Amino acid sequence: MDTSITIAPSPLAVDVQRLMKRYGAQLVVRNFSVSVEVGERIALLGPNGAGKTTILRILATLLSPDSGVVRVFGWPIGSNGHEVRQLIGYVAHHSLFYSQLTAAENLTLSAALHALPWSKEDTERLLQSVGLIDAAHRRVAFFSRGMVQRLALARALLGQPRLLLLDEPESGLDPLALGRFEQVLVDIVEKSRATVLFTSHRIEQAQRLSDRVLVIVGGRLVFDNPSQAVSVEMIESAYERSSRGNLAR
Amino acid sequence: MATSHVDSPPALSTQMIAGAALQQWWALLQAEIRSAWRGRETPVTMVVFSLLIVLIFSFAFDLHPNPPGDVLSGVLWTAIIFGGMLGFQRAFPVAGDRGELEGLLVSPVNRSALLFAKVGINVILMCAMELIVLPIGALLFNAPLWKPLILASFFVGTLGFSTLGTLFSALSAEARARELLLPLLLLPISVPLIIASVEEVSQSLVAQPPALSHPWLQLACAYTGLFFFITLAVADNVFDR
Repeated sequence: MDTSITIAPSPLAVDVQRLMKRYGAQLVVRNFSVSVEVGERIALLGPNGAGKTTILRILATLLSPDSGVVRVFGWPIGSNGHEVRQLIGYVAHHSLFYSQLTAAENLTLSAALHALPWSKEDTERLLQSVGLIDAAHRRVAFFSRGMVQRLALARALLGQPRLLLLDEPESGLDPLALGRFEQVLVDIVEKSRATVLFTSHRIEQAQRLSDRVLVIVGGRLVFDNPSQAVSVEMIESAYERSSRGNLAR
Repeated sequence: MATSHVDSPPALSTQMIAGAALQQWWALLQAEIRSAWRGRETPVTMVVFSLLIVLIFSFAFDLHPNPPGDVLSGVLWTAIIFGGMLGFQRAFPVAGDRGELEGLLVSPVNRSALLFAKVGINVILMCAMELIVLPIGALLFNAPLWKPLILASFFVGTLGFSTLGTLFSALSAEARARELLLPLLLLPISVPLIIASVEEVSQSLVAQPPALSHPWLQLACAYTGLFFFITLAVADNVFDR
């Protein structure tokens, strides 16, 4: 398969306009609009249930929007899902691996699905980059949570994605695993030329790693500012103010 | 808001797309086989469950020796169908420690390749189950099951039932009560295939000499072909959420 996909001539990596999504009667994303420039790093913050994961899952083509326009590098996700999937790397906050396959086997399978020319050395190089080379031939079922998340990062990078979607990749990690994971994450985010959109509950880390911070509460975008122009306290304050308002409603 | 013009995707010939899909299907099928072999919980459960059904029938009815062909065929197909459904229910795990489905869906995998890899592993698991259940059934009921036509009937029925079962398993993957929903959807639609398969095995067991034409086997083949093409036609939309 020809893996070199034509990038639509859009100056935007992500273009979301008036996005709405409901689960049954509950509206989880309300009129959400955002434009992300190529190469930008966006931190998407918000309390639990704010709609962050839903937005990321829509961008990852795992969910369809109810209404609104969603484009990734110019490709509408509804009609060009296959093209979009060739451009993204996705890390969820739960394991998306065959637990009975080894780390190396999972990566080799992903390479086959991306139709990449792939060798054992490529697998080793990738596992080395996330500090999992010693666990290459261990089944994912026996991995700790931190190891699974580092493997997920390796897989997300495998197709050299132009857009990295990281959904609370550090959630559920113990302090030791968190330190190690953060080191790998920072290294990858800083070295990568990909556009990065990540969700997190760690405001300080999010501000440090991103160019722009978005806060979403109750499915609405309530804060959108460059990271350098705001302080952690300002983000916290927007976060709390909107959460209180949302609760009052 | 950027109103960008979108280029056409690079033109790929049908042959290239089919070739790439076949490679993806093979990679996925290998992963499924490895995963089932190492996990073992699904095949073991299927075999134990279907054996229990055969044993219960053998105790419940006086089927030994020389049971009527239609009864024996019905007993064996009941065991195979209900054992197979256990496999279908485990085919599309959506979360937890077996959440590989989403990992596959975010990759640029051909949806037909993904669905038919699951069909492939379900056919393999059901055939493996039959390799254990049928000899035991043959021993218990003293039945001459080792005739090419009977084995062909079991294979065609298994292929059709697996194809349809995998399709409905995918469709109900995110339903809240999927364990209840799957049999309710699958069994009524499979009725023509089940009747044809049961009748063919039944007639092959008693026919002396074997019949020259096999309308029930032809019907089972036709239904299997139909289910196959329906699955192929809807594969792209099965995973839309």
